[in-house]
Amino acid sequence: MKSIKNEQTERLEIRINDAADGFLNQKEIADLEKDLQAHPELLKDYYSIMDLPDFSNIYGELNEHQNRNQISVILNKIGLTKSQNPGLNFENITVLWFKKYALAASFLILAITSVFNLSQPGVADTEIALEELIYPESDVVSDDYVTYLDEWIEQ
Amino acid sequence: MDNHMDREFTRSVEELYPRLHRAMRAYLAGSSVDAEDLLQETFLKAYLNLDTFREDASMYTWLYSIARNLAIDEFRKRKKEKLMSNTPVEDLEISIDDNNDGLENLDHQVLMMRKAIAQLPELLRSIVVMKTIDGLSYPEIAEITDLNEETIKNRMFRARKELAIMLKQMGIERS
Repeated sequence: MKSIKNEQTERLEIRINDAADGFLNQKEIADLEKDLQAHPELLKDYYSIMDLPDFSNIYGELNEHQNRNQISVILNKIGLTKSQNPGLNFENITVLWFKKYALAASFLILAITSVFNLSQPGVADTEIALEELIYPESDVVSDDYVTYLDEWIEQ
Repeated sequence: MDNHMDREFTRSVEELYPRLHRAMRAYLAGSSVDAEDLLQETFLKAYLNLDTFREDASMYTWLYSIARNLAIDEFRKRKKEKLMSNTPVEDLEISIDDNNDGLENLDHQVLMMRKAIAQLPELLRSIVVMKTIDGLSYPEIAEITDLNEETIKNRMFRARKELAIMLKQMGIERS
């Protein structure tokens, strides 16, 4: 668990960082500087961070010709990969379609099946219909049972 | 891959390569990993995994995270990252790129600033490059690194503090 002192220090560090990013207005900067008076080490860090030079332009982009060459190399490699893997297109499409539509298709099939079963003529009570679906009555078994009882009584 | 996706990806390569190349050069400076090789591998891997790209996400941050992960794998393989971090700033070899980045008047201060960034450990260097050189926002950096914004800001503070110390030792002041 972080101590209160550490949390306070971390909050101040984040505010210093926000100031360096230009996210704070004049009043917020004044408040920060006031709060930092109680933390001389952080105040020192604050001044040195605010004094950092601008790093945004120390790297430039390649020229148009160099970029074009590199892009061509990449596109050629992709083309080569495609030609070396003729099954790639079919495989990717299959996987993509499966991921995208498999779940939706499952729900659709379930919904259609349910509607079809429940809308059968002569089945008014859905609870009975469901029971019938899960525990189908077998006439053969019950008939055999009755026959067996009759024979036993006769004996 | 259908033709539409192919065309879109080709367009992305052409549009995003220059920016990503610039960012990777800054990130890989001082290491033995080559930005061109890394980006070829990045775009190829992205193409082969295009079906995992979320359409609501940014293609640039997705490519960036692939490139960064490949670079980290490469650092691990070569085991030179530690060695690089332990090299004194003065001894780091940072190329001036022979005018190939448009900075014809690359001066001593810029070179020292590049060296200072290269000297940072990966955890801090990657954040500095994304924020100050590539101009990514904190939410975008969070998407690439899978860290929360508070952690990123905290690392950014530590990185700035380190840079201030190094540049002071080099005698570099705000321009």
